[in-house]
Amino acid sequence: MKIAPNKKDLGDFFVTWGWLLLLFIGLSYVVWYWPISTLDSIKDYEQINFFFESYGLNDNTLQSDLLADLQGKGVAEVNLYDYAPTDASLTSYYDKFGAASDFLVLTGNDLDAMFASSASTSVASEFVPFSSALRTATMPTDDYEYFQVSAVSYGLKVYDAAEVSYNAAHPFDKLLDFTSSGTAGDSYYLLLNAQTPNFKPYDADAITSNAVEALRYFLAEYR
Amino acid sequence: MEISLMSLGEIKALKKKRTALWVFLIGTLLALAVFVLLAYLFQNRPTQTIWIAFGTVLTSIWLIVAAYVILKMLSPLSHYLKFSKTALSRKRQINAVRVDSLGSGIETYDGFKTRLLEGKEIDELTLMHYRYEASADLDLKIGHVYEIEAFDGVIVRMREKA
Repeated sequence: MKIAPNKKDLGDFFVTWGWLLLLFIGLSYVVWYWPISTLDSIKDYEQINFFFESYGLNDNTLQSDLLADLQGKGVAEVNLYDYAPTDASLTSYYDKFGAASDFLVLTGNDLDAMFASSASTSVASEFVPFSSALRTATMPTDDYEYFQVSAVSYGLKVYDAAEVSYNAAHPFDKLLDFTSSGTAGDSYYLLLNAQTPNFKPYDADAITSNAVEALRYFLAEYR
Repeated sequence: MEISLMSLGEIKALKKKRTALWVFLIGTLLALAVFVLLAYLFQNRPTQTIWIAFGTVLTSIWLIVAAYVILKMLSPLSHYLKFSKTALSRKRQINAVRVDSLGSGIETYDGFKTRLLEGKEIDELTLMHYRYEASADLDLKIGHVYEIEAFDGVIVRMREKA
C-alpha cells in the first residue's frame, strides 16, 4: 500500500475538508490571540486613572505628561474620565470608571451625601485618607483645605465655590472647568480610591506606589 | 508470476509506516510545544502581534498537516492493515477468472481505497466482482485468465494462468 501524498490526493483533501481547514486557521488565531492578549493586557497596577466630575477638561496634556513621567516606573496607561455633575448617567459612569479610578474629583454635595449615612465608616474605608505622612511625601507645602470626617481628611479641596483666593493659590481650574452657567456653584474635592493597588505604603492592600508618585506630580502641576 | 497484495511481509512494512507516521505527528507536536514555550517566555507587548501571527501560521500548518496525515494516511493504512490481518487469518476463496473489465474509478471499501475488477469464472462462467487495493501496481490484461485468491471479494494473491 502506497501512502505517499500525490497532487490529486492533496487537491481532493483541500476540496473535501476545506471547511475544516478554515476552522483550523480561525481556531489557531483564537488560541494564540486570547492567551497572549490576556498576558499582555494592562493590569490595574500599571494604570493611573482619574475620574472627574466637572464641566469639561481645560488641559488635555495631563494624560500624556503624566504617562511620560511615570512610564519608567511601570505605568503603561493613564486614563481621564470626565463627566458633568449634572449628567443623568453619572452614577452608572461612576460605577463603571470611578470605582476603579485612583483619583476621584467629586463635588462637596456628593461627599456630604456619601458620608452622611450611618454606614459612613464603610464608605471611609473605600478611600485613602490624606495622612500627615502622605502629605509630607507628596506636597512641598500643605496649604490645602480638606473634607474631613471624624477629623480624618478624606478629600483635598481642588475648588472652592466661595473663595476666589483659594482657587488662585491652587489653580486646578487650569485642568478642569468647575463652573457652568445655570447651575449653583459647588466646591470640589480630590479623593484617593483605596480600591486600586497603587497607594503603597498608605494603603495596606496596595502593591505599587504609582498613584503616590502621580499625586505628587498632579499637585505640583497645579499650584 | 504470483503477485501477493497481502502478506506477512507487507503487514510488517505497513506497521513500520504506521509507526513512522505517529513519530512524525508526535515529533512535530513536541516541536510546536517548544515554540509555544518560547512564545510564552519571549513575547511582550511590542512583539505580541508577531508572535500571534507566527503562532497562528505554524499552528494552522500543523493542524492541516496532522489532519491530512490522520485522515488520508494513517486511517486508510490502519484499516488496510486490519483487513489484511483478517484476510490472512481466514479461509480464502480461490477461483480462475477471465478478466472482462477493469473499473476506472476508485471506491472506498472498509476504510481503504480499492479498484474494481470484473470477470467470469472459467468453469461455471459465473460473473465475479473483485476489488484490489487502489495503489497496487498490477498489470492486468483484459481477456487473460488469472487465479485469484480473495477474502470478502478483495484480492489477496493472484497469478496469471497460461
